[in-house]
Amino acid sequence: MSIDVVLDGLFSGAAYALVALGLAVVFQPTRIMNFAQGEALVLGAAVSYQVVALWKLGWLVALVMVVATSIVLGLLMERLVILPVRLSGSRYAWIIATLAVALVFQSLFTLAYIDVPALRPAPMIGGQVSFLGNHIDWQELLTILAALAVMIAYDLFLRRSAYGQAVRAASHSADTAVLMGIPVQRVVMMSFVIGAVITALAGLFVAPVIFVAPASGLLFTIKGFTAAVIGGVGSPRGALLGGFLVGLLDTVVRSAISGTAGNFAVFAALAVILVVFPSGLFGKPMEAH
Amino acid sequence: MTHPRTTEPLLELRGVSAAYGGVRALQDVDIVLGEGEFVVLLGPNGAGKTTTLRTVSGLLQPTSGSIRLQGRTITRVPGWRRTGLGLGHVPEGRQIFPDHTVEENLRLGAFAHRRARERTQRTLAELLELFPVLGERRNQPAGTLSGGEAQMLAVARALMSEPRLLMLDEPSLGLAPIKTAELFGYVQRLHSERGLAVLLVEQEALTALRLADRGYVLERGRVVLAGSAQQLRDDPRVQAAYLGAAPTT
Repeated sequence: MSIDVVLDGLFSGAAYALVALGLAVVFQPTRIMNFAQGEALVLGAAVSYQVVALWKLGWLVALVMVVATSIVLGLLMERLVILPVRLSGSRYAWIIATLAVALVFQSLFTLAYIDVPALRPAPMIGGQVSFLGNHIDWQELLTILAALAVMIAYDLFLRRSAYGQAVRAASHSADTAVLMGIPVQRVVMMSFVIGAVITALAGLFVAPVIFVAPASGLLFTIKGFTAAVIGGVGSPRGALLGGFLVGLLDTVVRSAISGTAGNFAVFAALAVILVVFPSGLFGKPMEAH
Repeated sequence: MTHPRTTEPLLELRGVSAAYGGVRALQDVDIVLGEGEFVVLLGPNGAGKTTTLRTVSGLLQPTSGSIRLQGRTITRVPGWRRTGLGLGHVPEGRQIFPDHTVEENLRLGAFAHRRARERTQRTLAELLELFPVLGERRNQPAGTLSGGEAQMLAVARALMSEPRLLMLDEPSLGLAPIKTAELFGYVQRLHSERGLAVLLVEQEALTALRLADRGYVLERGRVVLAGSAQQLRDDPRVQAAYLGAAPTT
């Protein structure tokens, strides 16, 4: 096993970490595990493919477009998920609602890019950089750094800003948050938007390197979900750690044994960690419920 | 600060009915509370006392009737906006935020006025002085507080929005008698020294009637009795139902 494998693992781990963070951001105030979260990653990849590879407008335009379209996606998701949940009054309506949203967007992406096997634009910065005597793609390094930056920024937002404090309060108890004067419905809407933007950014960064097919959203959701559960749902730091763990395990086992063993190792690790730490590595016992 | 006309009550519920799903919780409830008044809601479990407070705070929409605060109809105002209108609600079971520090809990109480930094800072300093134990624990996670301290925090947090009316839902629940006495001492002081109006839901009827000016008795979602604290204390029905088990003085 070479350090290359570790770096590859950290890179795909960064993508899973951002999906996991998106999931956690939505889960905190809503207790909804958004199975459509991975669609935001595909959106990020699709928009950057469209802008960079087809329109040849460059990465800055792609970045702006990805943020703009993912804001719209977040607002749409909020309506499509929360409305059925509220109207049905069922505690489990979110399962069907989020899966339905995932399938809707999967179909839309497939229709739009029906003859495109992988949404792969050229990298933002081509070439490689040497690192500990090895070489790593600039794009991979950028992705890892971006994941770290996003994670730190969101953690600071939650802890330091008044609105972040309100998000944490709403996560603990929506009713009590309302009594504080916190517009909980607006907090929920904002969480869907922030979650979508974060996950779409992951798509923007990873698309040049890994295989993002138009219909691969659910796959990323599942990997991100695994990362979130391993790290402890609701904790940004947990999402980061869980993401890197999933990425490393997957890549290392894949290169050491075989391609199919990677997924097996990831899910086996999930099972073991859930037995030893029922609420994940960073989660609080209460948040497991 | 604007003062309403003296003829206008601070809080006025007229014909308020409310339901949880299909289950009737309140029926045609009339409650009036004047500026600076101390009113207690009595009644057995499930009578609708908590529901009344939740309806006033906007956590529950009434199916009919109207709610007025300082002369303004707030029946359709969303709950989160009511906090800024002079309403403070200490919910059942305290509901402090355990992962936030004591100070963060207090600042959340002033979320509606978060842009008025100086005002928030002043209120915070005042409350930390009024509740010294919270000052000592200022940077501690609120989850580490004892029951009595947590209840003080819940009250102080509700006061951060500088309400005209403080609603307390069974603040004595789960507290040692000495802590309850301390807590009610604070509430009494806020009421008499600052003219804060209080709407208190309390199981310990005797204590409550000693503090309050007036009271209402709820049963099965209806007001079955209303009067001054003295009248209620002397009412044989109240004595039989709520004061029987209480120690006589």
